[in-house]
Order: sequence, then C-alpha cells, then structure tokens
Amino acid sequence: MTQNSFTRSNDRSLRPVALSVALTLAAGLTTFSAHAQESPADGVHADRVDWGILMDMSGPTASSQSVWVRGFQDYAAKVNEDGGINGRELNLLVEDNRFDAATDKIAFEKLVGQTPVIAISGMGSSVSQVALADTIKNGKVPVIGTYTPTKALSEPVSPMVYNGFCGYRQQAEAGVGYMVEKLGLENPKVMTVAIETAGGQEYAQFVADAVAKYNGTASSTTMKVTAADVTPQVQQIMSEEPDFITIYGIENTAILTMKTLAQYGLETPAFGITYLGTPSVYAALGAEAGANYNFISCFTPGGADDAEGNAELVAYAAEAGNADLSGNINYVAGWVAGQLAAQALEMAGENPTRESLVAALEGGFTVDSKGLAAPIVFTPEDHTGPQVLKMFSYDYDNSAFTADGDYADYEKYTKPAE
Amino acid sequence: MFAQVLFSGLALGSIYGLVALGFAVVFKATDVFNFAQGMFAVCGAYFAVTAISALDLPFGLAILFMIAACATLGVLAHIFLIQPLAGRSMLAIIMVTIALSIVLRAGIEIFYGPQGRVLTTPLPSGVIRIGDLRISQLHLIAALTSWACMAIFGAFFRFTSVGLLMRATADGHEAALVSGVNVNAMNRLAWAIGAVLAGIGGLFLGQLQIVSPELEAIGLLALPAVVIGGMQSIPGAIIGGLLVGLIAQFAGSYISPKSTDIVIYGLLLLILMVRPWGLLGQRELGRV
Amino acid sequence: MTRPLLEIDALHMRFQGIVALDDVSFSLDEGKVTALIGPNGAGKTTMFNCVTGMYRPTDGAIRFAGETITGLKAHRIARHGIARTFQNLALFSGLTVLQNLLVGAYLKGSSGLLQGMFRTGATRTEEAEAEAQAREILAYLGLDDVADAKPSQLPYGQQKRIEFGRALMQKAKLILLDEPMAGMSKTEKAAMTALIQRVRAEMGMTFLIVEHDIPVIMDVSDKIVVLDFGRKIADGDPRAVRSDPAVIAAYLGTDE
Repeated sequence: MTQNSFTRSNDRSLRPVALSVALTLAAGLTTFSAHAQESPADGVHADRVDWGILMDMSGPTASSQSVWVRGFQDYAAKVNEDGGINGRELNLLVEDNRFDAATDKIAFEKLVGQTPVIAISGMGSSVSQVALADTIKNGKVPVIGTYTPTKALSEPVSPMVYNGFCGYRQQAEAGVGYMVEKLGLENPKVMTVAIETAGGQEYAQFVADAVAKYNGTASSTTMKVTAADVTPQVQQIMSEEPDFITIYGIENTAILTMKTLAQYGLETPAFGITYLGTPSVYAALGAEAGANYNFISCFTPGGADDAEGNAELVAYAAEAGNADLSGNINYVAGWVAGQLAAQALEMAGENPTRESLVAALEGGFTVDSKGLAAPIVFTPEDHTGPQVLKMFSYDYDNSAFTADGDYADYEKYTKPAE
Repeated sequence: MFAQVLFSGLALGSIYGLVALGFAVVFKATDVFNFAQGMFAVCGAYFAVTAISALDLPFGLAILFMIAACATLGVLAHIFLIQPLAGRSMLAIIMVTIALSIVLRAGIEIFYGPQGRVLTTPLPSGVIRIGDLRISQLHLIAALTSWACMAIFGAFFRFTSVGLLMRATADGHEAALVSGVNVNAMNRLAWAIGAVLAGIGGLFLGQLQIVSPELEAIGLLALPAVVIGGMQSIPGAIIGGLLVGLIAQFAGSYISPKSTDIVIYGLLLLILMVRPWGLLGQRELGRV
Repeated sequence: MTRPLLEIDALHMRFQGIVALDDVSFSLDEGKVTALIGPNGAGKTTMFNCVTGMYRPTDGAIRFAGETITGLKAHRIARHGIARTFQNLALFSGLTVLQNLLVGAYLKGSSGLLQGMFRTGATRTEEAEAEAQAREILAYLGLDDVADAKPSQLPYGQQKRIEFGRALMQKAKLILLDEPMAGMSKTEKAAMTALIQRVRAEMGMTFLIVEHDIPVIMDVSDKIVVLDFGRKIADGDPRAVRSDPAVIAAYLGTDE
C-alpha cells in the first residue's frame, strides 16, 4: 500500500525516497521472516500448539464474551486432560480486545506475527471483524470458530474463515418464522431493537428480509452499547405498536429494553438473539417481564436436556468450578467452539502447520457436539457453522430453560427458498 | 405521543436535576468542577444493590445505608483529594476528579464484575393509564422524591443555621474562617450533600434502568444541566436538569435516539457562546 | 498587675528563605487600642495572619488571655475571641446584612453541627436569641434600617461597619482591624474613629489596628508598635514613637 501511494505520486523528487522506503521495508521484512523461522513455526511446539483467542475480556461486552472464553478454555482443558491432540496440548493464548477496534488490530497482529499462533478463534467484536476481514482472508492464519458471524468476514466463503456461532440470518429467519406462526400473525409488524454495531445493522436487515417473506413490515431502532436509558426507544415501540420485537445487543441492553417496556405496562412479545439467553438476563427481568421474553439459539444451555454432550459439559463445568456458567449460552457456545477447534487441529495431522490446517479443512467436515447443537456441517461452499436453531424460554418455577420443540422442527424456517 | 414524551422527560429530568443540584452545591462551596459526580450516582446505585442484595437489609435501612455510604464517599474524596490540592489550579483539581471517576469505575468493575445488576425494591412498578397516556408509577415516584429532596435541601440552605454557614463559606472562605466557621467541615458537608444527592439520583436511575457503570453517562448529564442552568445557581441546576431531561426525550422520540447527545451538547455550546453564565446564573458571578 | 490580653513572644516567620517576621515581641493590654505601623513590606499583614491562624509561625509563641494559641486553626482562634476585618472587605455577598452578622453568632451556640442541620426546639431558641442580638448590634451601628439589604447595595462606609458588627457578634475580646480607613472620605474616617472609641469605651474592647493614616493613628491609639523589614524598631506611646529617630529613618528612607 505504502509503495503504491508513493509511485502514484506525480512528484518526481519523491521517487528516490520511495525507493529507499521500499528497500528498507523489504530489508525489514526479510530480517523479520528470518527471525520468525527461528521460533517454532506457526505456534507448533514439541509438546503444545499455540492457539489464539481474540475476545473482549473487559468493557461492556465482556459479560458475555469472557464467559464464552471460559467455555472454550474448559473444553481445551478437558481435551488436554484426555491426552491432548495428536500428542500435543492445545494451548490457548487469550488477547483482550477491550471493546476497542484499535486494540483488536494490535492484538491480531501480535498473534499472527509475534506470538505466533496456528489459528485464531473468537473475533468477538463485529466492528473490528469487518475491518480485519480482508486481512484475514488474504492472510495465512485461519479464523476457526468465530463468536460473531458478520457478513464481511463470512461472505463470500473463504478457506480462511469458519464460523462457530449461530448465523444472524438463521437467527432472524427462525425467530421471525417461529413468532409469526406462534402468534398466528398475518402481515406481521416487527421491530428490531439493536445496539449500534456492524452486526446490529446486518441483523436488522436479515429481520427485514425474513419479515418480507410473510408480507409484513419491519422497522428498527438502535441504542448505544453503553446505553443506560432507552425511554426514547420504548416510546418508539409504544407509538409503532409492533406485534413483536427482536433484540440484538448485550445482556444489559436486553434487560434495559424489557424492563423499560414493563415499566410502561407494555407486554410486547420479544425474542433475543442467542447471546441474550443467559440465566442472569432472566433473573434480572423477573418472572413478569421474563414471561414475554424468549431467545433463539443454535446451542442448548447446560441442563436444558439430557443429551450426552450436555451432561458432559455440566459435569466438567462443575469440576472446573464454573457450575454457575453451565446454563449460560455463551459458555456452551465457547465449549462448542472448542470442539470445533479441537477437531480442526486433529484433522491437520501429526505435524500441523497453518498451511496444513487450512488444507485439511478445505474439503469440508462435520462437528458433532454430542447434542449441544445440531450437527455443524461445513462444506466447501458453506462455512456458516451452526444453522439450526430453536426457541428457548425460562421456566421460573423450576429455574430451568425449556426449548419449544426440536431443532428439526425449525429447519423449515431457515431452508433456502427453492 | 407528545404527552407521553413530556411525562418521561419531566420524570427523568427531575432525577437529572437532583444530581445536578448536588453538583452545584459542591461547585458553589468549593469551586470544584466535579467530573466524578456521574460516578457518585453509580456508586449510590451500587451501594443500594449491596445493601439490598448482599446485606439483605430492609428497604428503609438500605436507603439509610446508601445515604451514609455516599456521604462518607463524598467526605473522603474531599479530605484525601480536594483539600490537599487547595490553592492549586482548577485544571489540576479537574484532573483529580476525572481520575477519581476512572478509579471508581475500575473499582466497581473489579468488585462487582462487568455484569449489570438489578435493583429490586418494594416501590410500586405498575402503570397508571389516563387515556393513551401511560404513567409509570416508578417514574412518578422518582420524580416526586427528587422534588421532595430538592425542597428539603432548599429549605436546609435557607432556614437552618448550618445552611447559613454553608452559604457564607461558599461566599468567602477567608471571611468565614475569621468568623470562626470551620471551613473544612463546611466543605466536607457540601461534598457529602453532593454525593448523597447523586446517590439518590443513582438509586432511581438504577431502578428504572439497570445498575451498571454505564449509568455514569446519565449521571454526567448533570454537567450540561448545570452549565445550561447557570453554574452558581441552585434553581438553575434544577431547571437545567429538567431541560436536559425534556430535550433528551423529545429529541430521542421526534428526531432519533442517536440525536440526543448532539442536541444536548449543541445547546451547551450555544449557551457557552451567547450566555456563558447560564440561563439563571448572574453575569458578574460567572467564573468560567 | 494584670496580664496583657495578647502576648507576641519572639515571633519568627520565614517563607522559603525570606524573613517576614524576625524575633518580634510585643503585647496588647486589655481595653486599649494598639496600632501596628511600618512601611510597605514591614510584616504587618504577616503579623495579622499569624495572630488569626492563617499562617503558622516558624518560631515563637502567641498567647491570648493566658492561653497559647500558636498554630491553632483559624476558626479555632476566632472562637477564642479574636475577630478581624479585612482591608478589602470580606463580607458574604450572598447573604443579607443581618445574616452576615448571624454567621458570627452560630459558632458560640452549644448545639452542634448535626442539630444545626435540623430545626430542633433548642436551636430555634438559640437562633431567636442570636437574631435579637444581631438586631441590637445593627441598631448600635446605625444599620438597623438596612438589615435585610445585601451588603453590595450599601455605601462603602456602611459595609465596613457590617464587618465591624460581625466581629462584635462573635463576642470577640480582640478585634484586628486591617486598614479600616483605607478608601474612606474624611467624614467616614471620623465616623470610624468615633466608632472605635465608642466600642472601646462602652464595651472595653481591645483593638490592634494596621493603618497608614498616621494622623488618625496618633488620634486613636494608646500605643504604637513599629515594624520595619520584619523587625520591631519601636514600641511605645504615640508621642514617644513619633519622635523616635529609628522610626523617622524608616519612614523617610534614611540609612541608619
């Protein structure tokens, strides 16, 4: 880039400068790569493989992202207790983005160039994910198991990116489809209440697309991720009177929205995106406001059914001292992302490199989460990740999540139109 | 919709007015532009959460606990941060209050975690409907309590002997000293009152919304409120708070939720340019 | 022999190497008017600030009515019975004339801070008494008809008297007057002189005055203390001081 802008310059006197800059850069790169080869290439050591995680461990989104990391870490610990992957431990290196795109970029470059790691998971901030999308796709380090599935990174399909979280399009389609059917609506009026992020914009568009299929109308309102007062947004809901709303955001904004609705006596049904399905959200809302609130998820919270994977997760979380997190959907998502990472690394063979990892995944693979999610199928044409979702609510009497139906019941909402 | 927005604006504006009043008391007494006022409100909310959820105190005692804790916080801030800097430049003192708010925020995040807390109180949370207008009982109580607090403190400054001494001290530290007034005690009292008013505001904000450090942003609306109303004017702070509440709600509902900050701080800039002493301030007293 | 009301004993005050007061000693007798004079920079205001507790002296002692008050906080010294007026008026501009006086009264009250925050029966009686007293003092000073005015609305001479009234309200035994005649017209000066003499005669008040107007000082003082460059160069009755060669030298700038 630097070189381009220099050579494009009309000022002839700049040419020698440009040349020397280019030479210095080239020399720098050579020494750098020579240096890099001295350390274990691609983060693969004799006894361990370094694997990067980029997530917000502090800041407003940390309450959900740090829980995801705990799930991932616990699954990796379990794998390592069972002997690791092809004889090597899965060593997670977590970098804190601090909800800051600049920090995100520095941390990303550190994991790619300095540490180095074989692959990266998480990328929790949609803003920096969009900003780094080209760098990732044209780079050498695959991103396996994202926390937030933005369009910019996941479309078109790239061999460098494998999503690990419920897709926004699928969440919108399954959620809207379910609500329309359950409430028996024709021409539904739907409002998206989102935080002001790249992901929020994408989600609102997916909701609008899904609502259009039912000849309905969609609108949206946004709030800051750090919002502390959403009265104007609720005024908007009051005046538009949608049949139901869907919430995209963080736990705090979801609670804020539902609480403010309740304060004004509005009983508008609502469903939140997967991230917002946590016991603490329901605890904060209380039985009254919580009764109107569901969430759509491609993962089953710990303890919500008796699948093998679910029992394993609940047991291990208790052992690791994270019993209180096993019901948190973010913990489950992190755990499943760990399953995805472990499987990918196993496929990369005895002596994995970034290159062999990317090559091994290219032909497609399926992750079996043992019932924590529907089987996650990656094909060369589709890296969407978990695609099948269902709606959950909370049973306050028994303090447990309950799913409405099976994953298979919801496939009709997300199947591409023929 | 107009009546609805008007109600919300007045209700929230009353709370902002209360926090702004606390800010003005501190500024009048000690000339300190306290950027930690928003965080004091957050602390009030967290003290209430601690008293109710962690200590299991009944509501009345929890409120007393919150008031005592806020007062202590204000007094400690004055003793350890403001008093040692007496005579230093306004900038140095402002930096200290900014640092204080950052430290308080970090402390809360470490102690309580990033997760927002919910404040459950026995206050009624129902809705009164008058035609299309929905009057949230909680908003109504918050507004009425704020007005009661403002009236109580107004009467305190006007009619009690300590109130008189505080006004005297605010007028002139030296004259108060030679008159035998314990100026430091009066200033500490001002900081305690400022923090308590912020804390009560925080209690309501925390209950209407959720208790998280992000409430600071709302608490800090006291700053534009005070500047708009007039830095030296107690009624100005209250009027400023109401105005900011109304502007925030009307701009949010009629323009866009994103526009509120632009409109509020736009008005702030306008006031600073054409009437820097504020709507109710007195020209010769404008120190900024 | 009675003990002096205020004793200044070998007082030193240094600011980062600058000597503002150098071994100054003198005393004030009860019921007398003492003047503290000297050229600019002689240390008069520093002396006032030491006595009122604004500064903590580097060395030496100050005794008031037999008690050592050196280094006490300013408000404590005020409560011991030392009041002060300022060269550039220090009135509470936000308060009425009456309230300005009341500020001096509430400190003597037995009710503490907490009681003062609420209007209990005891504080109410106390406040009523204080107000009656304040009105009495205002009448004494000829200010009774402006009790509810703000000081800034009044002429300079009256403002000076409000400050004076506040000192009386404090039930001070000693009043320090910092240039009470500064900026006054001839008539105002005469009125102020008369007031000082009246208060001294009728209440037995003790005064320490810093003033540049030498004729007024000669007229009103019982004793004069002269400072120059932080040192005391003379101390005695007005006539003796006036003819003291050291004093003349200091004022005329002659070398010693």
